[in-house]
Amino acid sequence: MKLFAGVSGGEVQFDLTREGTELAAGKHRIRFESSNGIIKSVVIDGIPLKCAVIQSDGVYHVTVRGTTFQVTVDDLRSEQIKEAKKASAAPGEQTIRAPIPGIIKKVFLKAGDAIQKGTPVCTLVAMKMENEITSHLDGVVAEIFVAENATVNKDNIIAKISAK
Amino acid sequence: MKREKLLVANRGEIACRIIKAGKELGLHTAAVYSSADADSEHVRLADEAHLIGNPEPSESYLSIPKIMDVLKRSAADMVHPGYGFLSENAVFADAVEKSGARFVGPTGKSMRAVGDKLSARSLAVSHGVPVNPGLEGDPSAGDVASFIRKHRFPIMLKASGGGGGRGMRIVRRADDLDRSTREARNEASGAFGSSMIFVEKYIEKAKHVEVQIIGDGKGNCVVLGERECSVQRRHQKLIEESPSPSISQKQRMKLFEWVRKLVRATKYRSAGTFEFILDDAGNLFFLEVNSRLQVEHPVTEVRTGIDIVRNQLLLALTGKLALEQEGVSCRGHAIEVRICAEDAYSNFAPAYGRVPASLFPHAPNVRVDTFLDGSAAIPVYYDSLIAKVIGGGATRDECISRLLKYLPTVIVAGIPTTIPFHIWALSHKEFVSGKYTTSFVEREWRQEVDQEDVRLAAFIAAATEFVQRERYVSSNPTGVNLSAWKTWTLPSAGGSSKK
Repeated sequence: MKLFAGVSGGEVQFDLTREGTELAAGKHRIRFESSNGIIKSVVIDGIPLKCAVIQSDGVYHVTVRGTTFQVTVDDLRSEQIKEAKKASAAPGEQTIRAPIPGIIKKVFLKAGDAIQKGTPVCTLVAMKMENEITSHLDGVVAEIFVAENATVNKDNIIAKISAK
Repeated sequence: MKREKLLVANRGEIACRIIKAGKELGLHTAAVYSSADADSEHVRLADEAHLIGNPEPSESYLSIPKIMDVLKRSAADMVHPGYGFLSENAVFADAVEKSGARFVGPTGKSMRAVGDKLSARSLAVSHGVPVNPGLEGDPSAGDVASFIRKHRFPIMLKASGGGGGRGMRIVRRADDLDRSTREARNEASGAFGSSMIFVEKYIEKAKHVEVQIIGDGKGNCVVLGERECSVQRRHQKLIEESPSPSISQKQRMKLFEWVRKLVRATKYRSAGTFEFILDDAGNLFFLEVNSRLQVEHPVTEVRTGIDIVRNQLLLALTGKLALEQEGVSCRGHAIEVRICAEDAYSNFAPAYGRVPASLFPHAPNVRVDTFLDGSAAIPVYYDSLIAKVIGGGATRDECISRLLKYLPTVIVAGIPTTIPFHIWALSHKEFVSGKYTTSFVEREWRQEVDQEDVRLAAFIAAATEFVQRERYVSSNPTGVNLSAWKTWTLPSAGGSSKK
């Protein structure tokens, strides 16, 4: 079975076959020894290690050797997936997005306000630190998507900006 | 004797650590919690727990009326504030003592004398302890401009009442001065209730060295050695060690002598840390006093074998120090790394949500302080620290290699953490040489992912997918159209983190 794993901006291809208790991909071997729910003992190329695997919204969150990676696994190459998506996407407005997750403390703008690069948009409090989010665009605020005290995730849209 | 009751006015790993020390001494322990922490480990550990309100710190752990209300209702005999939140709030300390309970920490009076960065500076100056050039008294824009003309950029803006990196900004260019001043003042007023700031010359190649003491409140103290905490991001410490690899025995003795003077002058009571900056010419400047138990106190505990929290509690119980300077011996080395819910590969952006599973294997000479009991919620409202891992050993090299073997075996599932950063830092030649400074992270951390780890993660994910598809096929004996695989959305596993 051919599978493409997308991780850290790259892609790794595996051609997996079962060989008894092991799975083989090229010269590499993996065997799942035991699974205590999320935490699993695996043996990779003869070396035992523990890892965690969580599946959420089609993404694998794999924690191995201290690092948590988000991995997507598909039997299509990511370029093919991207092209399929591109074809269906419409040209969007420009957006200002939350650079980090946190809580919106103050919103300085409302729809219709003219802004320039550097105009303060809102303050975002994350882990006790206050960050002033400024616009990286010139234009007019089309819509504000956050209210004060709202919780936002990284990359949530804060505002849509249309050209003047 | 009546069984005394200890109220722990904090959350997270430090609340757990204090509750455990209280239980060891046979105290009845009481916890407080916000609605975001209802399922948190400190609530389960304590003999009793009191809900104090909404998740926002101002409505829970930072609310003096709410904590005082619990103190009254629980009839606790003493209050340990932990670190952060109300730990350095003199009004709170006074309120606790006025109510008849004991505050496990300095008196409000000595907190005022040292807790405010400005009064601490003038205290140091009056006792002949050197300080960094600065501008005090909430300077006007004009004062700041003339300070910059004299001392040049970079400068550091600091909240007078601050700590923990909040209300602090380095300013390198005139263009950034207004915005940074605004940010520092806003952060300061939000966090400390005062927008007062002061200005200092910023020392670029600095090392951060601090002295841990415990004072008896009458002017005497026991010095528990120093720690170096120069690995920082956003002025918050990530790695701490003891002894400092950067100071000579002569400098160490000088530091201890200065600190004893300042303790005598303030009649400092309980655990406290006196922080200093070491510049690249070998000059030491007094920086500030942390009038509380610190996050990194276990480094000292591992090196001295002395339980600082236990000694704080004993002092509060008896009014006397339970240890003497002659009984303190610092042996070997200790290094602590802070495991935070932050994406080290994305500028340490905070992460939150749920850790559905975790694993901190047992290992010789490795101490783990954490509130993760397998799983735990990481609320967005509080700081990102989830665990402290402290490695002890005969030498610094031994500690480094011990932690480098240990950290890859730690699992904190589902969220990014600072573990990969620590593995990188502990292997970096600048850290290994001991010559690192506070700009180490900013200068050297390239956020490069280990490619071997990437391949491992990809292999594990692909193999998991393969096994799932095998199972799907075997559970659908009616025959499956293989080409349909690519369009399946696999059911998501339970207990995963919120998106």
